[in-house]
Amino acid sequence: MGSWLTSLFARSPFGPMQEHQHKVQECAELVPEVIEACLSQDHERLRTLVREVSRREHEADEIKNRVRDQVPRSLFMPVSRGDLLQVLSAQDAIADNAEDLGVLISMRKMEPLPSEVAELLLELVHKCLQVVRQSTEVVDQLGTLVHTSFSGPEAQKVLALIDEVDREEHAADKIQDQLAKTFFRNEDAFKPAAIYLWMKIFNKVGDLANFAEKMTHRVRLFMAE
Amino acid sequence: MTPQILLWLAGIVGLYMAWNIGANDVANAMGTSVGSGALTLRQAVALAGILEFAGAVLVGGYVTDTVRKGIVDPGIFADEPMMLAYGMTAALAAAAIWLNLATILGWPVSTTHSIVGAISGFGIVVGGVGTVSWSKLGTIVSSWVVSPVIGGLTGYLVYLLVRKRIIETRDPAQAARRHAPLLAGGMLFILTLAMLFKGLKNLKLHLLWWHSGGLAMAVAVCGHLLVKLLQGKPRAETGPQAMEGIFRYLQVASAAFVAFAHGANDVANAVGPMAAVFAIVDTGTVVQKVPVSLWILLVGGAGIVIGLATYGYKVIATVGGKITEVTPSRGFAAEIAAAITILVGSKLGLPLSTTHTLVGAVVGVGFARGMSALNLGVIRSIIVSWLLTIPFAAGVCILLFYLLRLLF
Repeated sequence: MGSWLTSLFARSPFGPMQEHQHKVQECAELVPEVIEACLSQDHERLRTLVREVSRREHEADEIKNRVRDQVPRSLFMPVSRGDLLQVLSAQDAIADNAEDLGVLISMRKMEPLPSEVAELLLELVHKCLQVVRQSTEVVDQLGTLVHTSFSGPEAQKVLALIDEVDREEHAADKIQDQLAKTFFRNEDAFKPAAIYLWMKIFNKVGDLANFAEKMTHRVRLFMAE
Repeated sequence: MTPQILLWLAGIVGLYMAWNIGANDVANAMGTSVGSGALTLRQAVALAGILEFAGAVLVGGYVTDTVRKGIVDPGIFADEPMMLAYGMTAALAAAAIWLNLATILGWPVSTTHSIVGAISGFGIVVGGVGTVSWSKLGTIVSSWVVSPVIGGLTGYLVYLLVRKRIIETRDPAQAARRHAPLLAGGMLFILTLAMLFKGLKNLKLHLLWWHSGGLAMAVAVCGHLLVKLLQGKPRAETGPQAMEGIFRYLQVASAAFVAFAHGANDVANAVGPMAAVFAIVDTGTVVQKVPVSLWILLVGGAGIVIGLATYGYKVIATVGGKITEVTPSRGFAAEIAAAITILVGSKLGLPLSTTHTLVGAVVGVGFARGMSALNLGVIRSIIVSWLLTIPFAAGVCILLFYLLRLLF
């Protein structure tokens, strides 16, 4: 038995999109522990953590594919399909970055970092994780935005949240600059391979925030009619 | 076989037709109210049953065209009136079978179009292609485009208005509270007019436009004041959730009116042909218009309620269970848009289908960014079901017509 009404209404992709972002954040939440395990030379723990990041990234990918399957071209939504898929891609990139970071950091046995560098790295990681968490808050508002047709005071609140993400991402950039400078002050202490790898790792950490910011910018497009 | 058996047959087939009207159409109008949590399944079935029955019996029409919508000239049957009686019985059965099939497949098929298509079928085999009023059939075809387009445009505008005046204000709940009496009054005005124009005209009240307008206005003002009174002092809750709470009442009211108007309009598709068969067998002649006795209307009303109770509740449960994302503000916008469209359409003499209009209204609300996800691919199969209605009903009717002639 069916009803034309039930077949006319498709399942909303916004709920699964939020589910995806939550899984993405679970990936990112492990990054501080990954870095700490590396800094404390706890290789056993590092391996376990990196495997766990990879597992969560895979779970996120499955949700992502489900969302994509759920938005065929014939689906009519209050937002553009292209914008929605770009939000999804940016969410996906956050998890990919966390996974890449795990792969890079366990590629070779990393020598301990000088404490001033290590401190800055941990500061950067926590700042970037904060940006990711804030971007999840933005995604959590999608349900409310659908209810208010992406307009009105609720939309203004979300725009303010996105501005906040911008500011925090900028703060993360500054920490990353400082980290790189501090790191190169100590460049003589590292082998070239270590320098190469650490720089890549720093970039991956910074990219967590970059993609979180990019994702919220795509959400902003939902509200521009 | 005797004419007595034909009467029984017509009665049973008429009941079957009414059952189908209750099993599908009504359910879709009430289902969204269950989905949004405005009503429980039990409440929705009870409310729909009472209002459909009331609509059918109170304003279902005590006089009807012998041939529904005059699609075929009854004059051609003057020499052999029993042919028309067989034909009408066959047409009822064919339309009911098509509706039953559509209910199973979940297609939004118009009951009027089904019966009109079936009647044209036996009209063609009895009197030739020239018997069918092709211009009338043409207006029905045009309504496939006109109903959803006007319904869609109205749905878009109504929801846009709700958005701009309520959702986009600083305090949507307060704005909804402020607008609720006005919306309720406006809704009552429109729906009273709709009923006066489309349903009550059969009561031969001969109301002048200002009588109808005045009556509708009086009802509207009463409704407005009543809502104001019920609201009492402004409450503190704010935000979109509180706003939807206010729309919940409006949605229940609009669904109730759709059910009432539907009972009033669509019962004629079941009882009209039935009354025609009874009049022909009774008098042995063919006239342009036949009376519909109260017991026939009661049979029609009962058939709709039975359809609702035996099958329609399942459709309501399905719709209510799956469409939980249609919040009361959207449900209200779509339902009120359908009601407005039907009113204006009947005033202009356009043969708008309630079902087709509702399809358009839902999509219209979607275009105003009111729906989270609509499956537009379904529109194609909906249109196919509309296109199939007339040929299918006509074909089945021709078969049944020959069968009846063979038996009697």
